[in-house]
Amino acid sequence: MTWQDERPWFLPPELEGRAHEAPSAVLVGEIAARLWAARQRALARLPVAEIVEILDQVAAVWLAPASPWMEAACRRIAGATPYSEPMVRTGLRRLLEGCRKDALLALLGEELGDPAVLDGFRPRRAGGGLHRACGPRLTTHIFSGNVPGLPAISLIHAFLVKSASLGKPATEELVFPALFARSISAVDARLGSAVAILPWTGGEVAVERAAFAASEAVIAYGSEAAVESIRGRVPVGVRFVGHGHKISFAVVGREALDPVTVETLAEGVAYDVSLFDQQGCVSPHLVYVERGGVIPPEAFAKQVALAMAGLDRGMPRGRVGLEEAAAIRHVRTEAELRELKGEPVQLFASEGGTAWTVVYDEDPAFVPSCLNRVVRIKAVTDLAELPSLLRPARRYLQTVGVALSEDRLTDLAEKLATLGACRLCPIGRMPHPSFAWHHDGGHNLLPLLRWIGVED
Amino acid sequence: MESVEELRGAVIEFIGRGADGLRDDATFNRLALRLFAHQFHANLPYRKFCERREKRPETVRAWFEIPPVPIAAFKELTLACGPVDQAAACFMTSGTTDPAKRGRHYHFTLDVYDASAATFFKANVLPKVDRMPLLILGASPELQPHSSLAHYLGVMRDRFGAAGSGFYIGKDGLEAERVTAALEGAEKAGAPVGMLGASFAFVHYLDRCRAERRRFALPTGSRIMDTGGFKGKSREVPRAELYGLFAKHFGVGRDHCVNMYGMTELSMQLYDSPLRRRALGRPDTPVMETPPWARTVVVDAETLLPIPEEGREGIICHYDLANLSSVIGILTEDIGVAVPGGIRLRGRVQGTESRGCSVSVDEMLAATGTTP
Repeated sequence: MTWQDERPWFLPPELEGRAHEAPSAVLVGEIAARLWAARQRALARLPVAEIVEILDQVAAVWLAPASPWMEAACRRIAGATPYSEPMVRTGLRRLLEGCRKDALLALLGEELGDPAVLDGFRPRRAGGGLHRACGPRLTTHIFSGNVPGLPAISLIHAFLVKSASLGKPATEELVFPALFARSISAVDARLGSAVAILPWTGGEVAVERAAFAASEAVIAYGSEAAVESIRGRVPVGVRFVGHGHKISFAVVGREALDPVTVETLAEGVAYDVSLFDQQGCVSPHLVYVERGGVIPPEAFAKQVALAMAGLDRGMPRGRVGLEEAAAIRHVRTEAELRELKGEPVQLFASEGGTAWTVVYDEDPAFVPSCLNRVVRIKAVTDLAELPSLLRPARRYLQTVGVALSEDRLTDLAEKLATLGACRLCPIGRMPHPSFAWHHDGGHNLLPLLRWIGVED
Repeated sequence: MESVEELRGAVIEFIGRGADGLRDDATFNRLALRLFAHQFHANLPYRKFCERREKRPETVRAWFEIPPVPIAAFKELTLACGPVDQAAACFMTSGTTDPAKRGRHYHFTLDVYDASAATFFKANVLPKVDRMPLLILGASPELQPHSSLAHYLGVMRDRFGAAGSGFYIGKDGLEAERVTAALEGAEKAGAPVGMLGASFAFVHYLDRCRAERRRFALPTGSRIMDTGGFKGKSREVPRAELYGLFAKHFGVGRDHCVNMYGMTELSMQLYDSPLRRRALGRPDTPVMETPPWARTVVVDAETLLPIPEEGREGIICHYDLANLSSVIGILTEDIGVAVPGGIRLRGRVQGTESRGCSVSVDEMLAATGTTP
């Protein structure tokens, strides 16, 4: 039960011996039964405040200097995925720093008002009478592998509403979920007994049916198609939360293009693009830069290129496959040919390989990136152009990184709200949403809860 | 500066040494560098392309250091070593994605192209045979003056076609009844024929044969050469299945089936030919072979450097000395692996297959009902 254990599963002790079996509906049924019982025995009886304390300790264990959990995770994730170790380290650290007690309490307060509604009946905020919130007894999580560490957030959400969890790690990232579950178990056996991690092949219908049937909620991450397919298989009456692919971008107003701060701003863009090689839904695909500032947009693009190069030295891009490299080459060729034809395009690119690519382009059309650190810097005359430019992407918009004055921020936020974006944040913080963010425009805990009211 | 005539003479002389001699790397390299110097000076967009990479004739010492041009450049730039209004021919790509944006390959002389195409065709499709009736499932050069394939097929008809040769794609497409009549005629005459054409045209005709339950037993020595993919023009048929259909419906076995790989952007073709392998006494292992006046390398998509080991997938890159009028180095969008004696094709680059939150332009536009 330690960080040295490299198995991709984490099962109740009585079932450990059966982990080598191919995952079956029967095994999943037995795991679910143990999780229900363990939850009933301990987790359901713990006050939410105590659960918060325990989860805070888990994060503390990971963030302690030279934490063996963190070391094991970084080493093994970098070995098993294309990501570089410094990038995994930065990403995991920042992610877990956002999972401390204050953040958990803030989320509970934000979404529930009085978190004690999870422990018993409490007076309603308005309208009189009492009410209480009940989390699912068991939640199945279908994790994705694009952002290592993200399963922690999903598991924490379930614990906060006193739900046991059965997690299916992504084939591409089998390391973190089981390791995180082991760390929970090491900190507190009661919480540890209410979580299981079991890899199975996505879409294995019998196994999934058994998991969903035994659960009261399903949380799924993945491509649009994968999430929709899972949604279709979740039985009626089981709550479903799906997070499909999204597109994020950044906006730099002319007032922010100031020689004193431009370097920091460009570094912020480079960081947002580079962390997890742009594979997260919060990673920007492009940056709209307004003309008329002290620094012109093309000079800003060059500054971003310098910052990308700097970041690549300390936090190298991960390995890419042939198709991914070819896609980057395609973007570069297209930009270079347009530049050779005399169009207002400039290509800035890492030498030798495909580590990073910045394309300055005066055509403001919204173009999604092929990812892996490829960002387009697009010039606009005025931010007022944005709504019509963003319209083609509106179905997918999520995070918008901004460098704007306060009054223009409010104005832009109003417009983006209509278009479907769900988060504005300063450039440089795009990969790290607050724990209480409106993920994909919704809440984090509320979709998992069932409420009961007692009227006067 | 060398004159174009001198260079043309040198390339034609090199091609004239034939398909079967030893590969003369030293001569190839010298000629490649002479052509590079010519193209660098005669072709402004190419010069800019090279200068961005800090490659100049004075600094490049080996043919593989010559910057290869991505095929997309034939769409965006005019890659011609001369005024295009004086070109002898302009071959255009089929423009499968955007018909308005077709790649253009200008030739100021066709004798180099023709010598290159005919010499290696002969070695691969008609070794030890001078002429044969050629049934061409393709359009004639008269019908499609801007198609390099039509021109190529026209050259083969003129140089190697015996009486009875002809084109079987007309203004209204495949003339299947004429094909049937020609094949029946060949069966009766008892003399071997060559069927040449685009793979998709064969599939259309084979589908018809199946529907009509028609089978031919073409005379011994008959052969088939097909080329190109299907590009949505017919159903996709795996190569093994295609050879099965050739055997079943035409009576032509795998050892008489040749596959050609050509591109509008090139002036040479590669062949996978059991006929050639048998004629030279080589083992019959399928492989795409490049003629001696060209080199094909598989490069790493990440670095664009040649992949040293055989068997690892990369992007296919050609250096073709017969591309006298444009650029000799071409970077394709095809995936392949190097194997002894040539390359094996693995298909085309599909575009991005990213692990993360990627949404393609098509998906994005489809979801919002916007048209590009």
